[in-house]
Amino acid sequence: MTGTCPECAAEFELSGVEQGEIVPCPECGVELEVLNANPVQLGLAPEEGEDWGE
Amino acid sequence: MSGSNGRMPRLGVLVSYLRTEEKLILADARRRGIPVTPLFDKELVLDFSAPTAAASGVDVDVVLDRCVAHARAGYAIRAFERWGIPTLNSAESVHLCDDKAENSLALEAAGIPTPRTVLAFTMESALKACELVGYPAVLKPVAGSWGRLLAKVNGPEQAKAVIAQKLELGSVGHGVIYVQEFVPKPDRDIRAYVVGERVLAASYRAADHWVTNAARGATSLPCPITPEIEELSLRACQAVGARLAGVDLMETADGLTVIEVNSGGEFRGLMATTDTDIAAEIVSEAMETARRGRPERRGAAKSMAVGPMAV
Amino acid sequence: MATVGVLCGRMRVEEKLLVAALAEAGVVAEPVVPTGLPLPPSRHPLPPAPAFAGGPQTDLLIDRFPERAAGAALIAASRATGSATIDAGLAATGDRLTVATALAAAGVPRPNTHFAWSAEAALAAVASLGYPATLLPLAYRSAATPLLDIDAAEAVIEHRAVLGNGVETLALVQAGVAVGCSSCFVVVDGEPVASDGGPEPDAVAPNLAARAAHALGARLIGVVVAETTHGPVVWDVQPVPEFRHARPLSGRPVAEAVAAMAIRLLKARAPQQEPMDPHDPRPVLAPAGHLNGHGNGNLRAEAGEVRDGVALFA
Ligand SMILES: Nc1ncnc2c1ncn2[C@@H]1O[C@H](COP(=O)(O)OP(=O)(O)OP(=O)(O)O)[C@@H](O)[C@H]1O
Ligand SMILES: [Mg+2]
Ligand SMILES: [Zn+2]
Repeated sequence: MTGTCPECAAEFELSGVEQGEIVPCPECGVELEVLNANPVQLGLAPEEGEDWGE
Repeated sequence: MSGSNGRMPRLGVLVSYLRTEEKLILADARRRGIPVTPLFDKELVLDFSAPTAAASGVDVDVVLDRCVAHARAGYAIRAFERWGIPTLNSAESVHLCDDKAENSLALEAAGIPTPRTVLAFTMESALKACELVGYPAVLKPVAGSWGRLLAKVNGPEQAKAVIAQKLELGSVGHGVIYVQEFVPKPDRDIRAYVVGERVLAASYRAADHWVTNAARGATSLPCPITPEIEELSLRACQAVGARLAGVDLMETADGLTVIEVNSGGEFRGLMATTDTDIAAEIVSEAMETARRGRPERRGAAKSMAVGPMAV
Repeated sequence: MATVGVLCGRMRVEEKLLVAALAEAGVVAEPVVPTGLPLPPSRHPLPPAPAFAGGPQTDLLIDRFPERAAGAALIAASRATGSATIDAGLAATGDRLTVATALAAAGVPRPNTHFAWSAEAALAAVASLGYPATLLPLAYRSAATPLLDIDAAEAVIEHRAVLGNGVETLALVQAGVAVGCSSCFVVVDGEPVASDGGPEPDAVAPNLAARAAHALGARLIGVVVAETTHGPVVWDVQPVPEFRHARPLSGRPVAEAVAAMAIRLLKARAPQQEPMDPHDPRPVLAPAGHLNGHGNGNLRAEAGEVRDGVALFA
C-alpha cells in the first residue's frame, strides 16, 4: 500500500500498518499518524506533550 | 480544652498569605489560648526522609489548610499526612476538590445533582463534547478558582476560538478540556459553608455577569439554609470527604444543583450575611480533628494490608 | 556558481516546488534547515563579513522558515553576510503592528483597527468596534481569532492574558471577521501571482495586495484581502504563505515566478559581490540613516494618528 505525506506529498510504501500507528516520512522526516489503514490515509502526528512519557 | 496527652493541641495554619479569613482564625485561636502558628507555604522545605514533621521544621499537632496555592497545599498536606499530622481537609479530599474534573466525577458518582459535565482532550473531541451538552456550553480549567478562565461559548466557532487559546498557550493541564452544560440560573448562585457535619451559613452571590464569584465582585446577600441546601451541601461534602468547605449551588427549575465543593473556601462575603462566627467554628473543628487523632501513617497503613501480617 | 538556499524547517510541498522550479531555471538550490546550526547572535546589523560561524553561506536565501522569531534572526544574519534574500520584508522581520502601521502609513486600505496593550484595552477596543471583531495577536505565530460575541471576546482575551507570557496579550483588534469574504494573494516580485480561497478575484483586490507588498518591501508574501462594505481592505498578511493549492492568476505558478526573481537578483549581483543588496528597502539591516533615504523610510504612524479610517493608537 502506498501512503502520501501531507507535509511534502512524498509517496511511499507502507505494509502491515494499523490505524493509530506513527510512521516517519522517509523523505521529509516528519512524524505521521496512520489515520486510516485501508486505504492508507496519513496525517501529522500529534505534538509530544510535556507530560508524555512512560 | 486539651489534647489527648493533656496539653492543648498546637494548630498550624497553612497559608500563602493572610486574608481576612486567616486573620480571624488566628485571632480566635489566640483568644482561646490555643498555640497557633501560620505556616507559610513559601517557607516550607519538606524533607520526605525526615522521620517527623518536626524534623522537617513543622512542629504542630494539626494543620488547617488555608493556602491559596493549590499545588503547594496539595503536596504539603500529603507530606503532613505521611508524618501522622491530621489535616483539614484530608489530602484525598483536597485532591478531589482542587481538580474540577475530579470534583464533578465524585459528585456524579455519588448521585448528587450536578450540571452535565464532559471531559475531552483534543480540539475535535472537545467540540463533540460541546455538541453533547449543547450550546451555550461552559468551559472551565480543571485547576482554577475565583472564576478565572471560565468561558461561556455560544456556538462551535466560539468554542473553537477559546479552546485554541488553551491549546496554544496553556500548560499541560489546559489540554484537559472540561465542558459543562450551561445552567440558566437567576442572576445569582448560592454559597453554603460547611464545617464538620453542619451547614453554618449560606448566602446568595448576585452579579450581572453569569460568573457570580465573590472574587469577581458579586454581592453577597443573606440566604436561608433550607432543608434542600442543608441536605445537598452535606451530601456533596461527603462525596469528596470534605469537613471544611464552601459548596457552590445553583437554582434550577428542578431544584438545586451542585457546581462544586471548594476545600477550605473563602467566607468573607458570607460573614456579612450571618451572625455565626465562622472562624470560631473552624478553630473548634480543627481542635476536634486534633483530638480525633492522627491519620494512619501512609507507610504503616500499607504494610498492614499487604505486609507480613497478610502472609 | 551562485549558492541559493531555501531556509525552512523541513522540505514541504512548497519548498520542493521552489527547488524544482529553480532547477528548471538552471539554478541549484539547497535546503537550509538551521536546527543544527548555531543561531546568529542578534537581529541588529552585523558586519557584512565574515559570516557568522556555521550560518547559511548563500548568495541568495529564500525565507520559508515557519517560526518568525528565529526566521527573522536568520535572514537578518544572512543579509549581513552579503546574501540577498527573498522574504516578506517588514512582515518577515516585524510583527502585526509593524505591518499594520506601515500599511496605514502607505495609505493601503485596512479595516478599522485598534492596538491593545492589555486585556482591558482589548475589551474596550471590541466594545467600541462592535461585534463581530477579530483579535490578531502581535506575533504571526498566533492565529487571528474571531470574536463573535462578548462571551467569546471575554474568554479569548482572558485566556491570552492569563495563559500567555505578557506579550501574548498585545494584539490588534479589527472590526469585522474575514470569514467567507477573503482571499490570500501570493505576491512575488511586485506581481500578484496566485490566489487562494475566496471568490474569483476582480482587478482591485490583486492590485491592493501588490500595493501592500510594495509598502512592506516584500518580495514574496501572502496578502489576505477581505471584501467589506467599504470595498476591499488588507486584512492580514502571511510572511511565509502556503501556495500548494493557490490558483495562478495569469498562468504562471508561484514557484516559477520565485525562480524568475531569483535569477534576476543573482544577475544583478553577478558583476561584483555587493556586501549589501542595494535594492533591499528593508530597514532591519540598514545602517542608521539609510532608512530615511528610502520611500519606505518613516514607516511608523504617529501615536493616535488616523489615516484612511485606520486608527492605530500606540
Ligand atoms: N454550568 C454553569 N452554568 C451556569 N453558571 C455557571 C456554571 N458553572 C459555573 N457557573 C457560574 O460561575 C461561577 C464560578 O464557577 P465555579 O465555581 O465552577 O468556578 P470557580 O469559582 O472558578 O471555582 P472556585 O469556586 O473554586 O473559586 C459559579 O459560581 C456560577 O455563578
Ligand atoms: Mg466556585
Ligand atoms: Zn514528508
